[in-house]
Amino acid sequence: MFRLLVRRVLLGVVVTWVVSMMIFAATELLPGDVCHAVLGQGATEQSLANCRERLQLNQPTHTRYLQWLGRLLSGELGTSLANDLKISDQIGLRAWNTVRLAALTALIAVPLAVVLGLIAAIRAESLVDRGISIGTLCFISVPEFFTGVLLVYLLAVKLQWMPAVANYRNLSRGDLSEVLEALALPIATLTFAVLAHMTRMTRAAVLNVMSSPYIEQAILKGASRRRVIIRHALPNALAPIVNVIALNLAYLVSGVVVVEAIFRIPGLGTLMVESVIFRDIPTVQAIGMLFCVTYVGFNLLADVMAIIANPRLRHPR
Amino acid sequence: MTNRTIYDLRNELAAGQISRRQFLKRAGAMGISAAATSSLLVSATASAASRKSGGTLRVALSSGGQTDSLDPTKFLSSGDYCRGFTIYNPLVALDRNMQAMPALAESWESNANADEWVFTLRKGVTFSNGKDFTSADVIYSLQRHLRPESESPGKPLLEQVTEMKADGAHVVRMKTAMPNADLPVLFTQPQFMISQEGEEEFTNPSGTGGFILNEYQVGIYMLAERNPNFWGESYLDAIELHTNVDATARMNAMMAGEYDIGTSVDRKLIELVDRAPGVEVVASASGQHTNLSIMCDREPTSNNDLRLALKYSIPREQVIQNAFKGYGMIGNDHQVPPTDPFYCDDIPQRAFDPDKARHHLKKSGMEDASIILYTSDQAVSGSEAIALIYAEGAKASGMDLQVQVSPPGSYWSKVWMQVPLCVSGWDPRPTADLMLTIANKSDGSWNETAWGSEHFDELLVAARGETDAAKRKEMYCEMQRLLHDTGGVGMLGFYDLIDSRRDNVVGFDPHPAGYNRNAFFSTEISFA
Repeated sequence: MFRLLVRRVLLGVVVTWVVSMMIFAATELLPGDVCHAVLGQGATEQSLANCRERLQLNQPTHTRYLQWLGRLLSGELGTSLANDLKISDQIGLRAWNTVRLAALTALIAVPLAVVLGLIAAIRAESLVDRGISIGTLCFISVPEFFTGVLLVYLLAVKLQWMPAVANYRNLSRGDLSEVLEALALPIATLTFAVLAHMTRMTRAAVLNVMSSPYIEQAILKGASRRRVIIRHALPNALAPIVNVIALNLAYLVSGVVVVEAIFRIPGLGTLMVESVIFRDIPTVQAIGMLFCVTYVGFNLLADVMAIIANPRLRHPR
Repeated sequence: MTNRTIYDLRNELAAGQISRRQFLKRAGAMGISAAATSSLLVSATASAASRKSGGTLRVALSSGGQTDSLDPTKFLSSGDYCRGFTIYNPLVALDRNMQAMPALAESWESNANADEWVFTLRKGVTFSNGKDFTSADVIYSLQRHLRPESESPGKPLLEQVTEMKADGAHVVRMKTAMPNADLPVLFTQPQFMISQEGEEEFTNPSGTGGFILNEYQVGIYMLAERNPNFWGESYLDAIELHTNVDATARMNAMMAGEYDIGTSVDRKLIELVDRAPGVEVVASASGQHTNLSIMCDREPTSNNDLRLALKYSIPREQVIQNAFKGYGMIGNDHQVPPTDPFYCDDIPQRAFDPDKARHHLKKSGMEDASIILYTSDQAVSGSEAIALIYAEGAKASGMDLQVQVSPPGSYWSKVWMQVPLCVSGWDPRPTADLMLTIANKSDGSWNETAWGSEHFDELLVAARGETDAAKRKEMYCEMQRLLHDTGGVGMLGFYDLIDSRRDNVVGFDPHPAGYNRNAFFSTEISFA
């Protein structure tokens, strides 16, 4: 089992390295240069030349890649091209907002999805099952900006129960209840978005295991359907469920640009988008790497969980 | 719902039915009376002393992001200007008649030639860290733009000042390369706000403005608190500036009561916002415009009769009503807006007149010419709809005109200033001189219609150096007339800058240059 884990970790490192090259190459391909984007219409030849000199944009690509990788490994992310602030400070501030939103959403969405999935499996083909299926599929079918705007329209503009945007002061300095109030609608929107995937996977994985001979044995033994599913089927269905949960958690960290924009949450997604607009390449690259590490990390975690949950992997011959 | 009548009045002005003076007088009266139920009445009539003090104002800014800065030499967006005017002051401010008014400079005068200037500074002004404001701060702040490594948008503007020196603690003397009677207006540019001598970092800058910086997060938020030693009047305890660039999210939050001021209302949302309870639309008539750019140096539009036919075919009222939802003013085929002090009342308003268009078309001998009008929504917002309205007008004049929508990416490089006829547009400039120079001077790089008139060029330079206001106005009138009669500008319409406020916000009033160019926007506001 130990060798298996080491292999997984090494693979993760290789994937991260390959992605770093892809990120660097992709940011090189962005049209236009940062100086044009920053200075805009008022740019003159002189100010453009000054700007390019300052940012060392005149050096060859591979030199800059190696320098960048070196700095990245030493944890030195550099300063933003757009505003000369330290990228690590900027990311730190934004990451806190993103991670907090993701964690609060996961805290609600994951248990809810697993429970709904189990209920659907226990009552397979019943009205309850169908209701859960149709409901969650509906939510996953409408895009987040629609759910988000709909919730804002109903709960914020019409009923005025909730704030329409996350107030920065509440987010940065508020106590827990103020933070929760500010984040209530974004959490709801994201929960609707990730619920279906996890619910469906839980139901499918459990039902898949239900057709195994050992489950038949348990049923013949006289165990109730609830006990059969939770005690016997669920442990063996855990691997695919954990995998889907990991993917959704990674999505909650890196894929919530739209929700951040609708609710004006200063998170990593909006920082990424703004940085692309302003051709702030070091920031784009740093966030790209952060998202990559998040995905690799969660997948690694899912693999480890699957190994622990599966006796055949836990005790390989 | 409150401002409609004022637009009718403005169109009367543009149609020549009333004079500019009458317009300003009546518009003032009307803006107030129409909003009698709301707080506008309080805003315009109550004396400063009776205004309520206190409260925290929450503003949603429509632009800004990672390039935001508190360093005036790096100001690029309206968000930067707004934050800047909250904590700093400029030497000179723009008033609501687009005239220079004192800010940190108490007064100024020039020699008869308008190339030597003396600015007398306000005494007893202190920075928020307690230091006195003197001429050294002015020289330092302005010189920062002229450094070799400077990337300031203000640099090319300031280069006309060849000499700048302090004469004691409260006088600054300047010389310019060419006569320029508008020099004080130059210092209303947001980049020329005054920071403290020696300030380089701008992480926690001191200013002389109505508010003192308390918290700042790039691209997200700024909090500033009342400056108890501010040299002017102010009402609010604090002001929060939230960057919210998403037009829909910004207006949703505005309607949900989370902001007191929501800047820049998307044209599509105006009616929705106007209907929302507790929210008022604030429309500022301005010089920003959409126009036909008719090139004068190439076939077929080098023929002035054809150009006149094209200009008589503009359904002016319809463009304002349909494309600008009523929030705009018709133009008279030059780029000076009716809000400008040099706008010429004496030129008769050109109206939509298919008969006259037909007459000039016949005279040009090009009745059979087929003309293509190029347009792109991404390049000039809303221009495709305007082009279609125009095409109907041209059809009524018997012209064979086709509308061609171009790919947005290359519009400014491949279409504009290349094809004989396209839709163009300009942001407002603070003076008639800057607007007329940039778009019409024969050797200018953005002379979009390739119209060249020696007489016009001479007038432009002469007017810039003329210090006699009446003579100057005559010169600008002559230039507008030349453009009106022979130029390549078909004015489709001036459109308003649209913002929004909660109905308990007082003093957030229309300004022709926009709230973000009003040096006193943050100190004028109070709650009802």
